[in-house]
Amino acid sequence: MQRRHHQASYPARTGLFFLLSISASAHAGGEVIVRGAYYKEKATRVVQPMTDVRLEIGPDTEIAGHFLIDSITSASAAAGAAGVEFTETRLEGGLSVSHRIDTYQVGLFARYSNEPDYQSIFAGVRSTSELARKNTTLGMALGFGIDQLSNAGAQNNGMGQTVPIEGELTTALASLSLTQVLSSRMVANATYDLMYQDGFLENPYRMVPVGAVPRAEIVPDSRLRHALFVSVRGFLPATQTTVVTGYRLYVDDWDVTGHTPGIRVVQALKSDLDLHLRYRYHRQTGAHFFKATYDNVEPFVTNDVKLSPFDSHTIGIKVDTALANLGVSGHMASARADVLLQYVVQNNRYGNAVVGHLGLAIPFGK
Amino acid sequence: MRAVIILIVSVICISAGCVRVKPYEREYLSRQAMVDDRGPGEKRFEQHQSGAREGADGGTGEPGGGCGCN
Repeated sequence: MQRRHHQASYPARTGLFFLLSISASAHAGGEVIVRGAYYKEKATRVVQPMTDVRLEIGPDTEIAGHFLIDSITSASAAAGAAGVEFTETRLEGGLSVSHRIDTYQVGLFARYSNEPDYQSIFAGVRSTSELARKNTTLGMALGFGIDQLSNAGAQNNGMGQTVPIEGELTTALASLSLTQVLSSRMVANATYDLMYQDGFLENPYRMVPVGAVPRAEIVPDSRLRHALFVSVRGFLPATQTTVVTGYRLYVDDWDVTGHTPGIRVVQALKSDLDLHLRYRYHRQTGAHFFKATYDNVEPFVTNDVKLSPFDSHTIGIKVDTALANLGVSGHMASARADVLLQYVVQNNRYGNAVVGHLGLAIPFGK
Repeated sequence: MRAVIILIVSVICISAGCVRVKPYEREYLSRQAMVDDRGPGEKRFEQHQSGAREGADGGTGEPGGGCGCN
């Protein structure tokens, strides 16, 4: 296995220092969450430790930030050099600030991600407005991002014959949301996202069989994506059960249409001890130019699994408890720990996957 | 797509006109699971995971992508 060592970049070190600083010097209320996530499928393994910090710096202002390390080990040609297992490390930091003015909330957010062959920066504004005595909440977000990518990974893996490829991708996001209280036990939400991507949308490593010859993937230079998500949350007092149902409809101008319903049930077993059960189904059509193999060169060629028709099932179980239930006393008694396990049945070339999380949320201040 | 959006927004808006839950009636609505049953890191990882394995993405109000796992 070939492993690349990647030293934390300056923005990543700065972000980590910032998160640690604000968590250590906080006088107001807030929360620090540390989490480790694990994902494993046939040819890919992901280990992702992360930290989230939320800090109230005044009665109406809140800062939130996160930092994560994404370690991906893969033997997939789609993620790196064909036939060579490799490990790549991605660092990501994000920061947001929000301020409440009466019934309005406005905010800014930014995210930076860095890996040897991919850098991404995304920033935007967000606002919400509460109406009808907080029974209705309207939200909007606008964001813009620039990604720069290359196939440096293949060259770093000793495949010196690879032609260097560099590209840039811009992404614009507009989002509208509506949250409506339906009763004292039920609330509904609808979120519509419109995303436009322009630039290098190929995977610079992906090779597609055309006749007997592998050729570089070619997809359109732009993609207009629509996603509408609706959900309803309800609480059943008799059994102390919360039910969250949701459905996402996705369409884009590559002719990918996705239907993604899901349900999550949160059962309170005792005070501050919850059992979560989940199911999510995803079914999508393929892009109009997708083929597993091509007989002749066509304007667009891709065998990307994500652009193929397939469906998947995800089942999950999570236990979330206050540490007081584990015999912890004092300030840490109100901290919460959670364990999440998921199994994903993917009816495509990726194969099935397992996902695991361990999380610890520690409140501070106040 | 447009018809679906209009239908859903219309239903919610009509519902909004009929509902006035007062602050003292919000005990159940303020429960953590009724506000958000997943933490920020859990949601971010889930979005990252589905964005890297599905052609469909979005519906969260958050930017996806941002990595070379395409």
